[in-house]
Amino acid sequence: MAGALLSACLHIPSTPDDSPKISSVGVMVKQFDETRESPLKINSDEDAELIANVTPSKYRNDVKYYWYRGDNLLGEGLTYAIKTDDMASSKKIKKHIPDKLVIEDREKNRLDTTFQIIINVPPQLSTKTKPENGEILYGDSHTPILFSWQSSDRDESEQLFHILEIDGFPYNVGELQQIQQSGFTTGKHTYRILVEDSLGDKDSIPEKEFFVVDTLGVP
Amino acid sequence: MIFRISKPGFLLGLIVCAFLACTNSDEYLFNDQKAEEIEISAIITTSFDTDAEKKTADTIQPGDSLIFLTTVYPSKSIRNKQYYWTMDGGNFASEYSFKKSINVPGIHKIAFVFIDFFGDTLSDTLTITVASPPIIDTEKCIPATATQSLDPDSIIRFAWNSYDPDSLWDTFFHFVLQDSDKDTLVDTLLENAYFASRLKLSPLQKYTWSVSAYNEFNQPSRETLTASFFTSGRKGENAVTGLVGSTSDQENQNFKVVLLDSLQLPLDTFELSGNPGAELDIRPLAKGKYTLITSINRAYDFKSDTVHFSLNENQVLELDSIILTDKIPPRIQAIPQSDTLDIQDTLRFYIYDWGGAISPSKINVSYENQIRQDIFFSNDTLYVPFTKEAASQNWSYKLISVTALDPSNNRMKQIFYLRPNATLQEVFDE
Repeated sequence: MAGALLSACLHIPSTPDDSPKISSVGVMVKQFDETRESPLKINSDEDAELIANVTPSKYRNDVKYYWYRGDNLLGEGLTYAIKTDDMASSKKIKKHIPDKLVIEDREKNRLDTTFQIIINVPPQLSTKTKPENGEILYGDSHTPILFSWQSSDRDESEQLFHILEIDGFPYNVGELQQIQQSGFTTGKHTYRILVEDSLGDKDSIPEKEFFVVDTLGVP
Repeated sequence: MIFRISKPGFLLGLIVCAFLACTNSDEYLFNDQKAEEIEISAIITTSFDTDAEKKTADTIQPGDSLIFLTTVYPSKSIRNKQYYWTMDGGNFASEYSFKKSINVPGIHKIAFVFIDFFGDTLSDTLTITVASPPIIDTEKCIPATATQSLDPDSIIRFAWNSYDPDSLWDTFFHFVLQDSDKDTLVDTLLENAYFASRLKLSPLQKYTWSVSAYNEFNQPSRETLTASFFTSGRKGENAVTGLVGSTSDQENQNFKVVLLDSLQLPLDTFELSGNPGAELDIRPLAKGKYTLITSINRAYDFKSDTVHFSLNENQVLELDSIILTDKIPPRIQAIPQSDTLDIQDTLRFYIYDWGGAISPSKINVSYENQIRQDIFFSNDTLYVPFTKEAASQNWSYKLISVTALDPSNNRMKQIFYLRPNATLQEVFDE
């Protein structure tokens, strides 16, 4: 008995392990139900969320998260919500969009990462296109029909790629905003246009229809 | 302590001492001058032929087989612990040389690893790129083939669909625009699957454009997109184009073309020549109904062809190819005209055709199931030398057949009978 007590008293607990357990920290963007790490791009037309990503992830709930813009603390927590209004101007972007994430564990070990969020203005298609919806066009299967549309993007440096879908068949027409196509039988036909910028943000117009009438016939 | 040594033991000891004394212990020391360095190398080739090119890097298509070969210096029979191949770090093979295909697209590092008897590791690495050629849609394109009335003075925009089946490689395109004379107007490489031509074109002309796709390893698409379009005429002019040909394999045909108006009155008559076909191009024409009659000059075996067509405003109508046909075989007559002939020194036959000249090589003569090689054909007359000796005395009728093919490969075989040149009694008397 006395021996057991003596040995219990002799057991000295080891020093608590206060070395950092998290090896790295990163940031992901969640928008349109899609989460991605690269590029850190947000479509300015929709709300988005920044999510901290620590490795190993099992320690995710053991640390505190601080979102900064420069030295200004913007928020705390595993996620950081971004509203469309936060991206309405460059002034608001500087005020509301973080560029640094700091994490801190119970032992006050800190780890930080800096990042840059790309606020991408999505392309826009004008609803004014040719043929106009419901337009009646005259010709035979060899007659070229003009398809034209206009797209724009406030991020001017970006290339816009278009898909012209005629009767359900998609043509990759690249940067073209006007083409002539033939091969239309008499009757109803449909088309629609989709535009995508280099960062993958898209716009489209609803399907339009036009009618081909072969009145040329034999003179 | 006293050791007692037996006599046999003493003798054995002496022998061992003598052996050791005779052994040169230097031989057991490392001598770097005698050491041989081991070298390995790995190569690939596509054939076991000695002339086949051997490489350390190659680009293949998924499923293509390559032959992997190794060399080990001084010899593959030296003692080693292990040798094997890896692909991108994983197991690949365990033979020195073998044939294998790789199906996974990508740039692969394939290493031959050799661990020698002392545990030293040697390796040599090959780079194999596995890539599928790009695919181009040859059916759907902009403008669709045979599009009419594109303004020759405005920008013409082309677009086509293409993709990389591996989704790994960049694709570029070889775009060519040619006029109806096959003169190249645009010949360019493009990074994107569209092109806008600002070239001023001619009115009422047919233009042909083609696109081939290539990936970054210069592998071309299996198919080439080819399409054509027509430019519109100025001031509402129209045109008709097409190709005129014949079933004849004769070179340089002369075609006669007659164009009739809607009242069936001749508007134009002209000749075309071509080898083998001729391009038809009539312009400018007003809109209306027309009839086109095509024939071949002085080749009456060819049936003329009549096409009715209508022209709309600003239209270049491309007709289907007009192929004139000759279905009448050559005529073969004996001179004098009869199907029963007397044996003469030279038999003569008149062979003629109104669908083009008959080539001597397309005439055959057979006598008694033997092809005659000594025939001669000139000015529609076939000469067959025929001595009485060659015929030998015979009391029965003999058959001689003459076969001729015209330039449209219509065949005529005519059989003639040679009268007996002796009586039965004469033959038996002999």
